[in-house]
Amino acid sequence: MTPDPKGPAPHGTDDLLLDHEYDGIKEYDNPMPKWWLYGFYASMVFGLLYWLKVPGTGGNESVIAEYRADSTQAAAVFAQAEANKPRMGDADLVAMVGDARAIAAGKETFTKMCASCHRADGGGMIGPNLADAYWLHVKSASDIITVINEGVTAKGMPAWNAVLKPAQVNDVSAYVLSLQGTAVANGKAPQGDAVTLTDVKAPVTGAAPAAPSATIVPTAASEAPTAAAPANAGGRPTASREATASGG
Amino acid sequence: MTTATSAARLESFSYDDDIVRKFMWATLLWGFVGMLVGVIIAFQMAVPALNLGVPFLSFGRLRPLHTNAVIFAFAGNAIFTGIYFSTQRLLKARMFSDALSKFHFWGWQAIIVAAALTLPLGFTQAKEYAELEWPIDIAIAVVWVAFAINFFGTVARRRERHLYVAIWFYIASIVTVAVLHIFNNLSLPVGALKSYSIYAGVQDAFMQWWYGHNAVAFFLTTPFLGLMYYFMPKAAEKPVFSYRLSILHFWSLVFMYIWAGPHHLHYTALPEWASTLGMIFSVMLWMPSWGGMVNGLLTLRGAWHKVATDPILKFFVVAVTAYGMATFEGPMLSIKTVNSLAHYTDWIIAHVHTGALGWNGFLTFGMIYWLAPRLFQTKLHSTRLAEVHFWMATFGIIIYATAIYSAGLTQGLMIRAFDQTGRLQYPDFIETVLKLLPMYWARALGGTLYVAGILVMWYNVVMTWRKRPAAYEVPTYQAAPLAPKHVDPAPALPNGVWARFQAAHWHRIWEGKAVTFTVMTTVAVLVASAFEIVPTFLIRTNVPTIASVKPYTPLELAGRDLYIREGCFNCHSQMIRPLRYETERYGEYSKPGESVYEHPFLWGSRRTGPDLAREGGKRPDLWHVRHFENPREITPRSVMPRYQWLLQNSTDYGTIQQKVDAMAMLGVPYGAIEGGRALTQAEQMAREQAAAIARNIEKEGGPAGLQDKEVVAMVAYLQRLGTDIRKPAPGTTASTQGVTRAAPAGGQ
Repeated sequence: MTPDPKGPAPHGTDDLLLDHEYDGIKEYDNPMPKWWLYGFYASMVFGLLYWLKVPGTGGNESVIAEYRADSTQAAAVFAQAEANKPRMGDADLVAMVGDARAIAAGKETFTKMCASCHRADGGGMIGPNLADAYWLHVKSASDIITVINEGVTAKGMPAWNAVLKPAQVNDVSAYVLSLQGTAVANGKAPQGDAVTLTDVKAPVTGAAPAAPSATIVPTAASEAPTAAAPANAGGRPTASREATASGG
Repeated sequence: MTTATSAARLESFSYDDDIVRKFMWATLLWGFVGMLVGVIIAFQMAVPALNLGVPFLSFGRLRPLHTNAVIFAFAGNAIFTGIYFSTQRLLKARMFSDALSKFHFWGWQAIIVAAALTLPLGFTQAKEYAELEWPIDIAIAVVWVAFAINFFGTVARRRERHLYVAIWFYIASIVTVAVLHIFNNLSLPVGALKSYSIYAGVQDAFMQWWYGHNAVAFFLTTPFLGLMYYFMPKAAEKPVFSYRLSILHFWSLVFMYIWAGPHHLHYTALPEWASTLGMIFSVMLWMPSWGGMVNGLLTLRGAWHKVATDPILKFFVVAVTAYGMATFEGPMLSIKTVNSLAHYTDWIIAHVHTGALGWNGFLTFGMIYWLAPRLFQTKLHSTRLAEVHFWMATFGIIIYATAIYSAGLTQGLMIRAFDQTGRLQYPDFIETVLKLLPMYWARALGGTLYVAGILVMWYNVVMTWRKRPAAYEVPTYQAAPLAPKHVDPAPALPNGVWARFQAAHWHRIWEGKAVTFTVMTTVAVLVASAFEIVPTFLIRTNVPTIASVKPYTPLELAGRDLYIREGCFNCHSQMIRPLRYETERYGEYSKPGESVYEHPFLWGSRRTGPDLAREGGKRPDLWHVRHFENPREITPRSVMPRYQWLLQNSTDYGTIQQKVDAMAMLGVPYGAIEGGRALTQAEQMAREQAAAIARNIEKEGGPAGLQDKEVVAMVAYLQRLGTDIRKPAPGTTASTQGVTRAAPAGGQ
């Protein structure tokens, strides 16, 4: 209890020891460190200013406003990109079937995204059989791209346009097309109408190696629509024509 | 105090160290168990098959066991160990009642055992760190009150007039934990081990995180600060750096912590004013938290040479440093934009482990090494082994933290990345998970090292115990009782109000009046709570209703309870934030009005899997059935556990009516739909819906005869999620646009 204003100062300061002691524990009467105290004041000033700047409101107005602005801007970017997207014709897609890279990439995407409903080999399960010649929403090859992009949401097929990049959609469409006529065991029973998707004009060269597989036989005799080839996506088709592999 | 006023009336007393020994053993036991479960589920994150296909070993059920065991069993028993040891000595009084001490000890252990049995069996309230079902909650309340009576009884019988800072922190913890526990767990029982929260949606989320954040504050922070204020100066044999700092940081901590909870709900359907309040109070908490760190580290001035040789001080230094890091990170994470990146990712997991492994773990280990030789009245078996433990645990934390911070940041950045076509860079959620697998392996390794360190401590403590004397010596102490009338001698006070305030003599007077002190602490906590909670419940515009949002059908409700039983919310959120990378991925952001019938809310806090708020209608029924049976059939390398038992177990149709009735009692308007049919024919309705879904699954090419299986109820629930706002609402504007601005009710 004896006041002991000058306690031991082990490190050479003149810290004041307080006159109380608990189970041998004593306390110094040091002031609070300046940086600590001013830091505390500063955080309170920040808090007050922030509260004034972002006033309490009933709902989430400012967050939602920010979100709307962001979405509007993004929608414009997306629309621009969509407008610049190369259009794929039936012949372009058929030509891609001969592109080993496209088929491999398409198969990878198919395995990740599509196989859960259409089965890994395309034989169908929840979704229809893609290996037979019967189609529900496809009248010509490029319709495959449309269905993948827009989906058939009423029947459970999602729209993939927002998820898959345009090139991915093309690749996976080519892969789906390449499944035509593959002999899949225990496939789902046919649904829809029989459509011969291979009945398109052959690509420019019409050379034999371009025929992707025995199952897809372009009618090579007919005249090639020369305009179609340049419209194809980013230089890929020309290179692909040499490729003979198909179907992964 | 031995020279106190009435030396003639000295009283003799001794301390009850037996109860301290008991709590210490329990700390050791549950620390190992709780962290072992953590390591097991850490490995399951990398290899889901490690749950061996057994329901009660699946991640969703073990994760709450891990968190509860570490928080309430390990940290809880550690707190009690330290409090029972230090309180008696700081107050110069034996615990108020040995019987209450024993009741507290055995009651708490029984609660832990009950938790360890019920959580893996799927009995859960689905609220984080408040998962335990209502009978256990009641037991917790009873045991806690017994503890409080024992503690405050000891305070009342103290022979030390003034309360030391450690005691202030104990008081704040005991009072606040009781308040938090009771209010967050208010629920309506639906069965022996099943209940529904009385709050719904936004309000339930708000209560939960008011609780959840302050469980961190008043279970893992303030009691441990109290322990630090006792054991740190004891081990260092140095005075505490600053008495005035302890006053300011104690009061600011206690008052401000309470407000911070809503920072767990940034960008959710919680009203923005609450979120903003949570953020600014979190920022203001930075310095009050660091006050504890500063006072701890500066207490070591002049003792740093001891740190080099003493593993106990090493543990304390790392503990306080980890506390400093975690309490810097906390305010940073509370900033909304930072939070948008970190929320739902492993960053939060990393943050809590900095606190739990570093601060709570190391402080406990240091305390146990300091206590063991004193409690067993012998020398510590091996200082060297304690040193080995220190380095194992330190490297364990470093490996753990490096891995899991990287994982959090990686996933956070991948989730928000867009490509130049305006599409998500990584639209397939699994891509963001597979990227983390190497880090999950590293995390499991770090955790294993940390747990192995605990085994080294076990060995050390057991060997110390074996050297104990045949009978423990129980020393008697003497001190005078408190004089009935006491006036603190006023020192020469400076002039001026501010100067007098700073001199803190007023606080010295409070410290001598335990009741005043406790009341002031309680007021600080309750006032802060009331400012936030009351407006959340009263302002109607906080939760604009949506006319097309209807209650779940009886079968969906049953499915929801399965979702809760399996702990799906531990990995899947149901809360899409109004951020473009969320809405692109999952669909329209979640509205407050969509959660109005959610007893309890299931917004989740971590996305190991994708958000499910708009899962309804996204995929065919059969997709879900096959996905439950084996997720890897659908998504190669998915880390979701298999739930094949959902296809085998039969739906419990018998309890569905009871569940609907309970929901109706909580205000869910079952009477207003289909002429109130659910109130009388819930089971029939559920069977009809199940039959329809089962037929559809069969039509899609799935197995026949699933109508009585749990999976159908689960599919019913999942297919409903988030679909209501797409439905037309007859005669109402279902939008939240027209909501008028409410008064800024929280702040004044």
